[in-house]
Amino acid sequence: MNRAMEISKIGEKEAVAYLVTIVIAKVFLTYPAVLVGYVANAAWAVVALSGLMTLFFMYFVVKLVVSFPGKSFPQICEKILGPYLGSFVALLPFLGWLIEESLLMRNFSESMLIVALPETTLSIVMLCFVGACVVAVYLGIESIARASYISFPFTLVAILAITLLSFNAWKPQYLFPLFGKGLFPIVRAGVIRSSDFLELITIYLMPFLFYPYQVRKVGLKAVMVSIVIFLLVVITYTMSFPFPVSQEPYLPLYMMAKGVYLGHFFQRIEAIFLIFWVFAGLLLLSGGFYALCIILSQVLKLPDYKPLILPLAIITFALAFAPPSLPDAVYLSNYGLREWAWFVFYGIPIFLLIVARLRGIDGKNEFTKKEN
Amino acid sequence: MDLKKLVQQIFAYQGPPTYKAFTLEETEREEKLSSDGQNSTPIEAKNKGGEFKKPKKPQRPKDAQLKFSPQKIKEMELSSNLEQSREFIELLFHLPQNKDVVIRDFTIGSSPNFAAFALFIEGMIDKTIINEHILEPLMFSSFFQDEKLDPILTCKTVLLRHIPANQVRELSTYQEVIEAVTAGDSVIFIEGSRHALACETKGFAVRSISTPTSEQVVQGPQEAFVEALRQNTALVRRIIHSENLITEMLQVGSRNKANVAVMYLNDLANPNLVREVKRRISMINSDFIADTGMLEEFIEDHPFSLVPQCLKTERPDRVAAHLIEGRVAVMIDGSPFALIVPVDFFAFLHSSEDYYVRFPYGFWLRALRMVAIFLTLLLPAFYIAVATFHQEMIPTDLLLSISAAKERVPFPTVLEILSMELSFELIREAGVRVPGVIGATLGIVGTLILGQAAVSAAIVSPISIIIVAVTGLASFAIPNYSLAFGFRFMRFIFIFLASVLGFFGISTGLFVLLLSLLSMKSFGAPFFAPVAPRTATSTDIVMRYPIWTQEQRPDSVQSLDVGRQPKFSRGWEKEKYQNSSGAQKGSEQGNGNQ
Repeated sequence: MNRAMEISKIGEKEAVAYLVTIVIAKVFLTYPAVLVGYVANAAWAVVALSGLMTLFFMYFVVKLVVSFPGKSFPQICEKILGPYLGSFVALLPFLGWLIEESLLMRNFSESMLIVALPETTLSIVMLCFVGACVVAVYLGIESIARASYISFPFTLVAILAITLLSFNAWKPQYLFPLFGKGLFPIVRAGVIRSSDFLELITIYLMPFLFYPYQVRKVGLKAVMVSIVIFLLVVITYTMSFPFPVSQEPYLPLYMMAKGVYLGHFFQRIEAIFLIFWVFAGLLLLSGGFYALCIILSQVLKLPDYKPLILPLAIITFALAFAPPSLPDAVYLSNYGLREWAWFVFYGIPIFLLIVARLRGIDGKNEFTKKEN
Repeated sequence: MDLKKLVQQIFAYQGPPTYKAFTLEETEREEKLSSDGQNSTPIEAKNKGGEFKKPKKPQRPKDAQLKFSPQKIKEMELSSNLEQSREFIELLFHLPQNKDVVIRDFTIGSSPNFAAFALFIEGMIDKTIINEHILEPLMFSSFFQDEKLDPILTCKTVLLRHIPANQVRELSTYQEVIEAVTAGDSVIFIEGSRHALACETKGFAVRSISTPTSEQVVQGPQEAFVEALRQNTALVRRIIHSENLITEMLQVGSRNKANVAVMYLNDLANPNLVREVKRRISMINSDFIADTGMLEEFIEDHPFSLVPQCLKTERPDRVAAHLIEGRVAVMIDGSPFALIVPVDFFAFLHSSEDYYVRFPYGFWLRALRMVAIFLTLLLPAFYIAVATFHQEMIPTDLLLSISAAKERVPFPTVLEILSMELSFELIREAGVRVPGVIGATLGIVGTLILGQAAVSAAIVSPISIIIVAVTGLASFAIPNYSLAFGFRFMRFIFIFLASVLGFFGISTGLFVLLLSLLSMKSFGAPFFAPVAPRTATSTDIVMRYPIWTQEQRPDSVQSLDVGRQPKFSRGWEKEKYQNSSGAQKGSEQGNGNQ
């Protein structure tokens, strides 16, 4: 077993904080506007439905992890599918995530340019992101998870402040018609957008991070908290901007923050939120980056992931420049990748479980029997 | 040979060199309590330290001619021939060039007479002890009359019956003689005996105990450590009256051979921790260590970090408080500071005074220091970021007044702040080094430069001066000197980041800083302990809550006894309520594991 796997374990609170942080970090990007684009005023229903879908998929994710305790994801794949097909399947989420990671990096960097540094070159900002991520990954997932635990209350307060303090812009009538573009688009979007919770696949990509008896609780709590935060953001956003306008902005939350007006002295405080925003972004990126390094090192059966950090950083950095513009990056991420990613990423554990059942492979040992 | 293995060895990545990392494991009791079934196994140790060749010692020609080299003599046992002993001693201590070393010949007044000599170092000894309690009884004592001394047992008899000094012991090698004499003892050689007697006669001048200079308190003990090790350990013992308080002695520095005291409470400190502290100290290979500051650098976990990981204090009460929490204190002879390990980050924000004033005031002090940390670290950077990148944040009225003040200033904000910060640092450093007589001048110069002159010459704007002054004040409000140093240094990094990338730079810097702090360990205990990783809640780490709610020791120290006091430590209050239904004494124990 990899040494990195032996020494890193994160407790329940830190795990939940970490997972929630990496899931909700995207509310700072285009997330609410994209949802509105699918179903107009009924974005809240998409959140609820995709959340339920995620809970459904989470059942299989947890089942897979609990069925093979003490095994890494590539090990599980290889045990079920044999060495060659197993490695191939283990690399699928790796490739998908590599692309998503680079697109996220591009999106976060571009949003920095829009919000705060209009005259800075993109590559400088991205270099900072990559540099910070490299340091973070080098220090390990324990530090990243602990940092999420510490910063989580602040991120939460920032989101609450932006969403709730924009109350003077709220117009409840914007919520209606309640089901927006109709039931079918809602169901379709609800299924597709379950990939908004895609970061939760961390649970099966890096099962060694969690104590087996906590996985179920961690997964459930992470999904629930994320749903609540998503709902809060999406509902307040829908109330703040009327439909055709609300699908336009690249940074919906920033638009809301701009509207915060607390008397004459406290206005235009959106720059303060930038700090939490960057923090959440860095946590998401470095956590994802860590996952990339770990999976690749495990597929290649390397004893340590650290030599992979720099090469993967360079690849991510280069890939991030592939989309010619920000709209392309946003499009690729939201409509290109996330529309089918849920199928692959959530499908893998189900597929693995089915094959395991068919082939009669049982990874359970005494420990899990005792725990369950 | 297996070719595949060979090729793999040459070309394949073998993983990082394994190293042995010390981690303070959970105590056995906690291990049982925790339902965690998967314990991580410690990393296998594989010593891979590089070997290096020792440079050849240049041999002195004089040594080469001698029959016995000093090195050889040191290893030899003492001889019963007094003449030869004297010859060897003269050789070892470089007599007669070395004027500090004194050899006093005398005769023991027994029958038959025995020739003897006393060896000591002038200035290190107390003359009265030697004159009245060693030489006088041996030369003139009437007890010797009619006593026939057996040459072989002389030493023992003299030790037992004729030297009225409190600490006397027998020595048998020249090495021991050297150690005793250089530490301030007097050694007596007696004709015909294969042993020598070392009498405790230390009597050098030491500074008397005075008030702390860097950790002052308004209300609380006003004693600080001094340079004498024994006095320092006694100061701690005066606070903790316990037979379990152990002081172990080690030596560091191959040339100055400084005594190092490791103090801990036997029934509280984790034995693994104590072993690790002793291991680190005893494995230091250096020739000169004179202060705890030097020792700290040799034993700390992250020597390149800007944040210290050992708490240095000059207050005996603080050392005692930490010993009671299950930590280990390290002191070195000649230094008025003690090191406390392991510590968490928040210990650097504490001051003894927090506990000596009532809870609400202590709480307020802690909160104030938290603010001070952020101000020291971020205020100038924040100002630069706002003024350079995010002007929209400044309310219009304030913006107008700031820009009016800045109108005549030709420099960009960064330069203004940097130059002011630099002058402030200069004044601070000069203030420490300047001789007391001209200290007052410095204040005048500082006020003029930093204050009026700079503004009236339109070099800087008044707001920059306010920013720098508040930052300076905040940095002095951090109670720990080393930590304040670290943060002042980091401030410049944040100024740079803010001037290049605004808030984005600041938050990236904060991210890296936070992560590096979170990954640190102090003697195997996580550095950011009660917060992340989240350990059992303590009411005195970040904030200071009422002292009667502090029921547990910090969890990260893994002390052998977790509970400090029962839930009802204000026992009289319980009695008050139970008085009617038969009074009970509030003596519940062991609620520590709740």
